Amino acid sequence: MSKRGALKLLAFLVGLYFVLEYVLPEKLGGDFDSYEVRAPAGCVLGTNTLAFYVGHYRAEQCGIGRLVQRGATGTWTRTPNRPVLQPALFQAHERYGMSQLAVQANGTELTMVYLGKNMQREPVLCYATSGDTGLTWRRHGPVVFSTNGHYWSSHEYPNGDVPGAIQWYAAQYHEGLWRMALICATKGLVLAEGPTLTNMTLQPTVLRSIAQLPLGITAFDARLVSNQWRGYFVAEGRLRVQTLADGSDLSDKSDGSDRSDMSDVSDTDICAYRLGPRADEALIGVERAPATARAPEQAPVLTELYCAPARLTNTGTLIKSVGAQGRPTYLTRGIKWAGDFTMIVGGFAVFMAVINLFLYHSKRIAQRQPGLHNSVLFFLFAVVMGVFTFFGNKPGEYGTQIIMRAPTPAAVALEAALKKSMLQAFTTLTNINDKRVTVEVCLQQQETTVTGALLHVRYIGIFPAAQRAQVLPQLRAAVASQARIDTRAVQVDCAPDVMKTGFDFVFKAFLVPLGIATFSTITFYMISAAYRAFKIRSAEAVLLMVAAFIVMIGQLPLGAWLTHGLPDNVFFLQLPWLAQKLLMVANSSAFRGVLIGIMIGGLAAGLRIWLGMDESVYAGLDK
Amino acid sequence: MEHASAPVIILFVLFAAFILLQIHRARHGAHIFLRRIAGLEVIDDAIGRATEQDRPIMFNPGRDDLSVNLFCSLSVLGYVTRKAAKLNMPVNVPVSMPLAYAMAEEYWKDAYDAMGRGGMFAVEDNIRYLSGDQNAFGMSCAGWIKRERIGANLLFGSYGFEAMIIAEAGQQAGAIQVACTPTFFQVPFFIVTCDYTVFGEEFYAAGAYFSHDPVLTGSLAGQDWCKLVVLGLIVAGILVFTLTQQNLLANLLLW
Repeated sequence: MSKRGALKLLAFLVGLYFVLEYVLPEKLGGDFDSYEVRAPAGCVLGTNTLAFYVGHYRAEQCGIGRLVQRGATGTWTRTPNRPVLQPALFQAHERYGMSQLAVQANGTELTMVYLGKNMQREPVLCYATSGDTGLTWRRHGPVVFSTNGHYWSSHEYPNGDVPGAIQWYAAQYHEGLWRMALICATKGLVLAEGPTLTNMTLQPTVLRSIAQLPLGITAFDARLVSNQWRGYFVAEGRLRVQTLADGSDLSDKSDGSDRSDMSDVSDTDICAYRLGPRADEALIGVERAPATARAPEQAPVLTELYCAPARLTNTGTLIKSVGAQGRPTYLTRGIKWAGDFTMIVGGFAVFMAVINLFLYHSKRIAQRQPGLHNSVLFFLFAVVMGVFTFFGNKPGEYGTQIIMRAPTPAAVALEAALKKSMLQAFTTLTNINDKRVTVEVCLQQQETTVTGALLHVRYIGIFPAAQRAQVLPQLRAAVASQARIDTRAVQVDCAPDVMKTGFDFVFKAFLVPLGIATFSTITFYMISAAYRAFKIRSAEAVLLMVAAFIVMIGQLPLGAWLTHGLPDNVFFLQLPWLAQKLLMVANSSAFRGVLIGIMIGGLAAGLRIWLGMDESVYAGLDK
Repeated sequence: MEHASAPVIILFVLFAAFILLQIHRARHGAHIFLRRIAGLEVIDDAIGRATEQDRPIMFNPGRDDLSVNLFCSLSVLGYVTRKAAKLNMPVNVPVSMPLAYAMAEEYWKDAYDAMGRGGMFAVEDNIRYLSGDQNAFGMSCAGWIKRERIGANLLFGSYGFEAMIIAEAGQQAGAIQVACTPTFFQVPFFIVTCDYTVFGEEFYAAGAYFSHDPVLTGSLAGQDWCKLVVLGLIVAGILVFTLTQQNLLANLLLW
């Protein structure tokens, strides 16, 4: 067989593998919730209790399942055996999944609020309704919030005026009014209410900032009790019950939390919490690390759903665990091999590309070509970056780290307690994510008794003396109290981590500003290009100019202000409406037409290459 | 990973059958009409004009890694390089992806060798891996264009925001510029900065346009049949939805 023929055969076999991988599932059969079960929510409807949950078939393929409990104490059964609602190809707001369900019953109609994951994998709060006890659902799109009474949901901001990405939410329908509590990224907790979910008015001020909320929230729900919001936060493995307005504690326990007493569920395992279906009950999602190694087609964690007392005072009832697994196919394991193969080939290619760079620049220096200082700088920075990257950027060493030496059982218990104390110590000063610190704890022990400790604190960037003076005594006290030794027996050695700081500095002081400066130059290029484009020389240029004017001004508050006084029967003359129609109808239809052509062109080109028909691919083989 | 649903598999098989059937017809001598694409026809003139001005030619294969788009760009690189080699002109190729570098080098060398001009230009001077970073790649290309006073700047393949930087640098250097891209969002920027812009499916037709290979022209005819099927589905969907107010077709496709 000739070299060309052999390569064609190889290309065909590799291509066949990828086609099969795309066409065939990696496992055959199995339940739609065989990967994970998450985000339960429930309500009572007549004599039946209903619960809905998100079942995953794969990491990013999910559907909403329905569980029914006949009577108050009956067993929970999945009815039907298929998802009652699932993300679909044409549902942009939930293209990559659904999470955090909340279900409210109003007579015989059910409303389900859920957090979709859109094409950019950003959260979008959506809702759907059902008139047949949740067997079929009708989507209504995003929940729309507003601060000024003007309700507007755009393609870019489907939830309207929410102050940041919605991280957690609670929803309650009572006496014809929807009420919501939203925890938004970077802002905090805000309240909203409205007669319908497309007509929600946000309170103008943030009720509690992120810093005022419990640290490390993993689940959240809230309920309006006596006209006062009561928040249920699962944070750092504890349920904390607080009033939302001022954060005052409503817990039953003396330590400010309602610690779970569920014997077989650890506190830190709770990843979802939703009040209901009945009063003083909650549906919780639990996530556990598996005891044994998991197959590639299985989720890396074990998930289960429970119905427990709202204060988590006992185990509750297991209502759903993952469904039956499908049968793995040969592709199940093949995906990893194919990925590894591609990575190895890519690694060799990077090596070739770097050699090319070195050859080019060394030639310029050797020949004393003009601009050789650039080549010298290239080598200088290559060495600097190489050294900093090798020594200062070890994988996984981000954020605050605690490295324990002398790993005895006592040290393992100490690690968890110390980490928590350190987090609290640093949080009082600054945003913990910006303060990247490694603390190496060397315990001095005599047999099993800890007699002293040495803390090596290595930080990145600047850690001013004033902050050090505040944090280091807290660290010392934390170790002393956790290890039960005298504070004087704990020594602290604090110094910057030169390599990590250097790596950080090269990025933050060189690469990031240079990148931003380069990106900013586009503005000037755009102005000169726009001037050329907008010179009115033809009918097409006039059309372009008018369309651009409407779209630009329609996106601005000025556009809304200019036409806000128009009567409702001529709404189509409002500039924001026109701009949206131009973008979402005229522009989108043209875009989709082009996209269809591109996809079919790509398919044809791929087919030619796969079947070895395109000879131009095999350039240089016959030499 | 995402897997094909049953309707997608059916459409895939149908489209593949159309394309292969048309390739078969073209190979057996059926005449296939190729529409004139001004942006591709002008490439020969651009090479000629750069040669007259004694200014180098730049062929930019974009930021595609190993993909169908890269193969399409490189097949045009082969054509451009052969043309340039015939005129003893260097073709500068800035590369952003390591795998693309290895392949572009092969295409480039092969074209010069085929024209008997192997060794006339140093590989490391003309094919350069610049950077995988968009900013660095865009700025390096802009600098290269201005330093070498590029006469013809041919931009093929996928681009991000660096398209504007590269094309505007070419415009300022007075180069004749042709952009051919499947990246829809960069099309407006190319239109205002380049002399000719080809986009969408015509990007995939470029190889066929230059070579007139029956395999390529046949597959173009097959694509037209596929588009007819898609058009039929769209019209049927609109009719069914309008007449019954039931999204039957969408539900069928989601099955």
